Amino acid sequence: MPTVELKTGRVLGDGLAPYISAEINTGHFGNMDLAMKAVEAASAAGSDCIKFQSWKPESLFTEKYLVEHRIERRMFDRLSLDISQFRELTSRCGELGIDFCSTPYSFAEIDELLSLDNVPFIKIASMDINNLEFLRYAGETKAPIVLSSGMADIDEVRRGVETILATGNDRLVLLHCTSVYPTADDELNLRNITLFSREFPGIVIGYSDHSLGLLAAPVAVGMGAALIEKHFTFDKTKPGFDNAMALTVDQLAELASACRLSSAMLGSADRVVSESEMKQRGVMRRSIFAARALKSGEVIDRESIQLKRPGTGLGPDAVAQVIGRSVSRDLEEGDPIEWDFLA
Amino acid sequence: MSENENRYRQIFCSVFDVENAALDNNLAYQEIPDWDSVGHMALMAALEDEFSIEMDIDDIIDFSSFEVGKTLLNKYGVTFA
Repeated sequence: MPTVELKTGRVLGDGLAPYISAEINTGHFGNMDLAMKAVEAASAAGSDCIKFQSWKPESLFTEKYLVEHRIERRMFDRLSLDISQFRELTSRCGELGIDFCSTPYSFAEIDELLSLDNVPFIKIASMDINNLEFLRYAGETKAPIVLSSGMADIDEVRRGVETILATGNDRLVLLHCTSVYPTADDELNLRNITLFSREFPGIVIGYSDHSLGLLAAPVAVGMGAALIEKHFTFDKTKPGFDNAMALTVDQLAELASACRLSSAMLGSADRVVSESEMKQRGVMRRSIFAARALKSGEVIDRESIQLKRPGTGLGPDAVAQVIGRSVSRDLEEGDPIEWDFLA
Repeated sequence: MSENENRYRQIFCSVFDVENAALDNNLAYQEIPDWDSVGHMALMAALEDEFSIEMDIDDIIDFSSFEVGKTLLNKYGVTFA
């Protein structure tokens, strides 16, 4: 199984503990107190990482567009955090032992991100999977990359992955993702995780979950997703860019716990009978018992034995070896047949 | 119904392509498909144009329902009495 070591030293891969990236997006509404509270909430909820957005209006739109769409400009201006604010947030993340990340949308935002502490990887948003010069720039930093794949067909996904690998950077996590907010259950297509594992056998696969509710992420972990990204918010009623499908903080904690439980439940692919299960053999399996009284020297046939609980004696798989043998002592109906009782 | 109420309703109908009868004070953000984040920004722009105002971004973020919107617009001199 492929693995990726993040900048923080954490190793991700199928079979390892799932990495939970809690996306606050614009849920801080540009308010640093709320952003700081989000860090603390994500940490308390058991997330491995809190992720912000590095976007500035000019990273996404032309000046002409922004003039024509003044509300977008004001919203992005208000909802954007700057590098000094990110530095404060990373400091708090360090104190709490949670990773910090923020999705960049420009070369400068990549550089800014990598100048911060506690940054485990560069996150590339789905919208940039066909932005090949951006993928190359990110790849050439040699930092681990988490690439979302929403809106992309398989050829575009393949090209995006190959573009990053061609930079000599193979520390890549590819996220299955559907870029609809929220995504209807029948459009989640979690089997794409299996598809990606097959198509990209050397790449660690994860899942960016835009569904409503808590079920999709642990199911994705069960299918091999090593990283889960999920949005959360303090107030679902407020107009924001993602509040419709964001979890509450309590739900985030529940989701993180469910993903880890899912991973633990997957256990080993090797067939192992545990010590506790071995003890159950004695309780639940059958043993060979005399079906009637047997005299010493009498030859055992199928009708003279019965297979009943408990399973502490000779098992049913010994029947063929018992039939045709004679008993070496008198036995009552219900006595166990043991090797020592056979001549 | 005041003239401003009519104009307010007309903006909702136009931006979200809904019937006037579908509008009531309980209508909230995300309750109709088009009132998502993109629709919200279109609604805010249309209201600013209609009433010749510029809303504070905090009010745009707090504009969470048909009823709350009317309360917020009061701050800008748009009354519904």
